[in-house]
Parts: sequence; structure tokens; C-alpha cells
Amino acid sequence: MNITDLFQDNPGKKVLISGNEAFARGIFEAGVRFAANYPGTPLSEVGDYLHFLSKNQENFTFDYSVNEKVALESCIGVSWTGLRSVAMFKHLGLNVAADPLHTFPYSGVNGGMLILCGGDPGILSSTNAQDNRLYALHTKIPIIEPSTVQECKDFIKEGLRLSEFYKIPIYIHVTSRLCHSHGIVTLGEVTPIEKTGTFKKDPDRYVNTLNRALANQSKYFQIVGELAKNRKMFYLFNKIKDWDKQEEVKGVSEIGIITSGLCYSYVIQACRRLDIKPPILKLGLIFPINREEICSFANDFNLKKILIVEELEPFIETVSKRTFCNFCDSKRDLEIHGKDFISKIGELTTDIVIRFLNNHYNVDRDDLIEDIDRKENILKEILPSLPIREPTFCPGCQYRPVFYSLKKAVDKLSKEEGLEFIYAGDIGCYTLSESYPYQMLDWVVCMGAGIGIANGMAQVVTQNQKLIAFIGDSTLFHTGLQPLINAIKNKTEMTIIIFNNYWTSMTGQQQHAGTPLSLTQDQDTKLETNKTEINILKLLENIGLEKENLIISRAYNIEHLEKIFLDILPRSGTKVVVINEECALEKSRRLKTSEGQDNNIVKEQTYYKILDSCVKCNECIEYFGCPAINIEIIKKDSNESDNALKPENYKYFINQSVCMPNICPGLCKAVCKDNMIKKTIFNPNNQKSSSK
Amino acid sequence: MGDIFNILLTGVGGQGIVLLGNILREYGMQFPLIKNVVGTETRGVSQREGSVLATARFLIDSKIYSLDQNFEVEELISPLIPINDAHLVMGLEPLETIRNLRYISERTVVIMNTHQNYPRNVILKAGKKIKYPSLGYIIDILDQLARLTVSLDFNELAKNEFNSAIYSNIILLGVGAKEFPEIFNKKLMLSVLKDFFGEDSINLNAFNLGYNLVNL
Repeated sequence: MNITDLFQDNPGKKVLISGNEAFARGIFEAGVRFAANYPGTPLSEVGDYLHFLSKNQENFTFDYSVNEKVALESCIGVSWTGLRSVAMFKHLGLNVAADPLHTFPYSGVNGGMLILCGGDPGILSSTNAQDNRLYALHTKIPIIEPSTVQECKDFIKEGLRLSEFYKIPIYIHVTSRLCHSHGIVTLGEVTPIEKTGTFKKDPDRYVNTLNRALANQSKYFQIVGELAKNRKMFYLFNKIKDWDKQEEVKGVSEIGIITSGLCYSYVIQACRRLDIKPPILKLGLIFPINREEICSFANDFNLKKILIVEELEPFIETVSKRTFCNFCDSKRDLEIHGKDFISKIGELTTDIVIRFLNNHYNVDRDDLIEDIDRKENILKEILPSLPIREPTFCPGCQYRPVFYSLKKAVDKLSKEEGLEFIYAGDIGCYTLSESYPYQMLDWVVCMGAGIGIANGMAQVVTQNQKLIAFIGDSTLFHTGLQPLINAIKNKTEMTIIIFNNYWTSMTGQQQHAGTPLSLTQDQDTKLETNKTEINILKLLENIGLEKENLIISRAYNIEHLEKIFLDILPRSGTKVVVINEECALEKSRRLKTSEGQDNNIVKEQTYYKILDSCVKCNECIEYFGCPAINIEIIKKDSNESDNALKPENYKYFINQSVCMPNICPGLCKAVCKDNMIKKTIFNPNNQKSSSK
Repeated sequence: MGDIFNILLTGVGGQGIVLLGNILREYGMQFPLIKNVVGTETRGVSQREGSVLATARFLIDSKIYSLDQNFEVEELISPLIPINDAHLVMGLEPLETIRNLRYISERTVVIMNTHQNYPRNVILKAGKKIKYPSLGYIIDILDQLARLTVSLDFNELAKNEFNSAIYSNIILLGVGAKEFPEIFNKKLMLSVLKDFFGEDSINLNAFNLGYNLVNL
């Protein structure tokens, strides 16, 4: 959906939007005063939409905070003045924000406050699958979970109301599948936003020390207990599926299902396929759970067995078991199944739910299971042999020359001086150095853990082993500064390469603390004038790094970079190389937009072409690895059984539609030993082209 | 009440999969017989040339497709297609089509672009053990499993007809739409395409070309 349409005030209109768009729309409709985010899949787009909104909506402020802890704390500050706020980040971000999360609920909130957190059960773009619902067990924070795109929008509003009613923060749990789902949503009315709030001092409430913290803790626990007992809230967020009205299921079922989130849709689909109609309790408020209501679900339908369908940890299962066992007199012998069948690892699918339900029902649909088994056997045979598409740097990316020249330097130093190199990886585009052709990455754990782990390892490795740590600018601000300072403090032996590309690129080029204002002002004339750009170089100079150990370079000069690395890698001490070069993808987009505004100027165009006489030495494709260079089949092999590509059957070519000649100065030409790549400048004004 | 019709779109980044998904879901919003629309897209980690998959699922007010019958409108909420359940697969790249064999069965019509996009590790020396399956092998498997497979080099066709391979996805959409006349109204689809690309877009010709290409 067009982003301007997403933020129009047109209640009642039905639109087709994604889960992330629905969250942004919900925040807009609910009159939220302040939202803060550190970008991370699956929720990055919500921040992008809200950043756009903040430029056009009066009294709405959005912040790309330096990390999740700061984002959460900023939201607490806004909420304490009585205004609404929403903090949002990916599941891993909650670990960073866990410190305030465990204490501020004692003090509670004033304006409604939500923590919107996106999980990633299939680890599609994260480093772990942690189940954030478990945070409820030691913070007691109430959790709501939408199961449709419509609920993504509605639960923002309802969650804020709930938060304001009980004066505590509410956590919204969502998984990547729902964030990226598209569904039909009916828009609601837009609430106006108040500009200023007032903070009323109350040390007993806000200063959590000793006896005050203890008093606040018991107050908070009491509030959560009251929420658990509130039947109205139970029915506001939770639904019981009773299938067709004419078919009376009440009183006859033996098996019931409890589920939440998108898993509910897999359950529905599985029930339809198996042609069964069990009562289904869909939890929207998954913590705390109302004991009486959950017991009456089992009693009303006369259940002997409850099947729990959920992803990752047995959260609902544990809470339900405890409830039935301890608090439900008539249901102590209730059978509860879930994680005894469904794996704790990976995402759920309809097929898994079909197997699970079929296992407990006597519906005789083994033919269905056999079908699935047969197909899975075929898949087991075929899929492992298929080549996967490894992610790599974009065409024209400024990281490619850095890793290419670093690899050359490292190979030389290993051969000539017997040095061994260990690569400390971090989270960002440079993580892709793990794939072909560089394969320079020895670990990835979490944000900041590159330099962090190197801090210890560097102190105990042998003398010929050298550590190289990679970190990007956004990650440096996030949690990289602390390990960096620690390394400089100890003069720890390592080379740190800071990729200063001005944007948080891997999540979609969001701005961060170090993004040059000259770049953001183009887009946001109104907002960005009030900000300060944090200069990484000044920062490094002033925290005690020796001058001779700070090297600054641009990216697109391979020879120059190789020289720098050959010089600095064998040296002792903490050394920092800062590569200043803007993200190529963002830069090309920006140039395109600014060029697009002036149609009269016809620019000359540059093309790179591989000559037919190329001898396929493979330097450009095998070692440099720009994806703009690909192969073209020139001769089809008649022998179908041998499907290996033979060099005589293809030639290399440069894909003009992805090559970035306006950003990259032709590095493929620079690495070509035989000079087989030709540069052509085409000037439409004089209709002549010149070749080099 | 209605039945579910499942469309799977697959290919590599840059081929316009996400756009095709948006077009199909928008069509679903406008076609009166379609009562509910859901879908999703998954992109790989990479910006370019990674595997991309999108779905569009329609709840149709008709009895043509007997698979998931009598769904209530609000029950179609899962964006994912269950195993074996795709009715129409639009495969913009052969390797990505066979990678999604999971959804293809005797009820599936597969329209596949035979133009191969070789993953890097197939070209590189270091990865020479990994082979791109031959086109013959891929088509054989699809023929065994699918109800019908239409395979054609849509890139070549688009280049010949419109001077650019970028129209291959919309030509392919035309072929797919022709296969299911109960679901795809040509006039409405053209009007949706106009909304996306403008009145005079070559994409309209590309759709028409695809629509009139295959007669079965």
C-alpha cells in the first residue's frame, strides 16, 4: 500500500496491508505521542513507516534510537508524563533492553505503553530463536499476541487501553510470519495527539531503592494478579471458536485445542482438512491467564484431553498444566499434549498440526498422512542436491574491495611471515564475508560480540595469531563502543575494522547517530536540523587511541587498502582502520532520486563490458565476486546426463541492469589481470562513445 | 463460505516476485467472487539474486476447487500454503521452481520460465561439486508430479517482443491467468495492471501476449 494512503484518516475503509503496516496504522490511529526503534527483522518496516509519519504528522515523534535499551527507556520517559508511547524491536533486542524491563514495571506507567517485539522461530534472519514469552515468567509483564493482520492493528489500540487501565506496560508478541503477512484490514478512527505531558514527581513510585522497590514490587504483582482475574479482559482478547452455529458442539467434545497467534490459522486449516470441529480457545492475552475461564473451557465442553499448539517453548502448555493441576478440581486428570509431539525447534506448519491432531483423533485420515509422507520422501531425495543461493554483497558494494584487499594482504602475511589470522564477526552486512569468495569470518554471536570476544581471546592466543574484528558504524553505536573502549584501555592486541557506511544498511538503510546530516537533510528538511551528528573519528581520537594506530581510508582503492593492511596487521597494540564510504545501494538510490527531479539534464553513461577474448582466469568472479558478473550459456550441452557447467559452454558478461557504474569506479576492471574488461562512456548529447 | 485457491510465486530477487504477489492480491481484493485474500512473501538475506517466494490465497465463492471446502470468510488467515496444495505455481526460475516442489501435486498447474539463473557456487571453482540440475531433469520431475506444466523461455520471448527481459513476469502472469478463467477475469486483471503501471504500459501488451500464447 502507498505509504501516504496508510496514514489517511478514512475510518471504515477496507485495505489490503501487511502485518507491519497494520502495526504502524494502529500506532497512528491510537494517538501515540512517541515511538522508538532500533531496526531489526521482522519489525524494521514499522519503524520506517513511523519515521515517514513523524515528518508529516504534527505532535508525533519517532526516534531511531542507538539501541533497544535506549529506545525502551525513552518510551518509559514519555509514558511517565501521561502520553502514549511504543517501543519496538526484534526479539533479540529485548535482551539489550532487559535491564529496565525488569524494574520499571514496579513503578508502572501513566500514558499507555507498549513493547512491540517480533520473534523469529524459524531463524530466518537472526542468530537465535529465543522465545520471548518466557520473559513474562520473571518480569510478570502481560503479553498479548495478535493472530491476524486486523488484530495487529486492533491490539495496538486495545493494548494501550489495557496498559492505561492497569497502569502497567504491555508486551505485544508477534512472529515474523505475521509481520510479513498480507490481509484485509478495516481501518478505524484516528485519535488526536497531545503535544506535552507533565511529569509529577513521586519518589516513592519512581525511585526504586531498597524498601521502596520492595513495596512497588508487591503493588505490581497485585495489579498483574487483578488483571488475571478480570473476565472482561479474558473475553476482550481471547476467542472460543464454536464453528457453525447450528452444530451444537457444547457438551459433546472430548478433545479441545488451545493455541495463539498465527498458529490458530494452521489449526483451523488442519481441522478443515481432517473434517473435525473441536472447540478451540484462541488466546490473545497469553499472560496472565484467567484460571476460572480456562477451567470452564475444559468444563463447558466436557474435555478429557487438551491439545496445545504453539511454536518454540511449551509456554501455554506449562501455564495450562499448572492451572488444571492446582486450581481446577474437576480436571486434575485432564490429559494435556503439546510439546510431547510438536518440536521445540523451528516454525510450525499446517502439515505438522495435521499430524498432531490426526494422532489424537479417530478420524481415519491416514491417507492424508501417507500423502504427506510420500511427498516428504521425494523432497528428502531431491532438495539436498539443489545448490543454495548464498547471500553476498550487492553489486558495487563498498565492502567488496575491503575484503578483497584484506584477503590479498592476509594471504601474503600468512605465507611470508607465518602469521595466522582470526576474524571476529559482528552483525551487519559485513557478516556476509562468511560466504564465497572471502570466507573470512570465525564467529557471529550477537551485536558487539565481535570485539567483545576478541577482548579475551587476544590475551591468550599465541604470538603469531592475530585478531581482526569487523564492526559497522550502527553496530558500533549499538553495543560496540563498550568492548572497543575496553580493548583500547588494555592495549589489547587486535586490528578493528570499522565499516563506516553512514546507514543501518542490512535492515534497509535506516539512519543512525553517525549518519551525516547532509545526507538526511535532503529527505527531511523539517526535522533533522535539530540533531547532532556523532563523528566516529573524533570519538576515537578522544578516547585515547594512539594517533599512529588510527588509519582512515576510502573503500574503492584496492592497492591503497592492501598497503594499509600489510602495514598495520603485523603491528602490535590496538589498531583501528576506519573505512569511510557510503552504502552503495543507498547512495545509488539517492542519486537516482535527485537526478529524477531534473529531467532536462541528460547524463553521460558508463558501461563495463567483458571482451569475447576473455580467457576466464576467474579473478573477477572467483576472487572478487561481484554479482553483476555472471555467465551466459553460449552452447547448450547435448549430453543431458552430465549437467556440470563446462567453461567452453559459457562466457562471462556484466549484467548492466545491476552494475553500478555511477558508484563503483570499475573495480572489476582493476582486478582483471589480462585487461579484458572495457569501459565505455556514452554521451547522448554528442552521440559518440569513447572507450578505454 | 467458500473454497481456497492457492497461488505460489517463486524466483530470484530482482525478477519481480514481490510485485507479482501485490498485483495478484490486489486483483483478489477487486474480483467480486473472491471473498477474502491473504498472502506473504519471504526474501532471503541478500538484496539481490537470493531465493524469493510469495503467496496469494483466495477464498472463492464457488465450488470449483474441492480441496478446502466450506471455509468461512474469517477462517482464511494462514498466509502459508499447506504441503501439496498449490493450484497455480508461477516459477520465474527453474531451480527455484523445483526448490518449492513441496507445494506441487496432481492438482497443480506449473508455469515455468526456463531461463536459468546460476547461483554463484555453481560457477565458482571452489563449489564445482554442486551442480545446477539439468532442465530436462527439472521438467521430468514436474511432469511426474504436477497436473500440467508449461515451460518456456519467457526471458527470450520478452526480449524478442519487447526488447527487455523485465516483462517476462507479466507475460507469465498472462499464461497463468488463461489457465483459470473462473478466477481470472481478463478485463479486471488489465484494469489492475493499469493501476500498477499506467494506461500505456508495455506490461498490458505483455499480459495480452501471455494470455493468448497457450491454448490447451
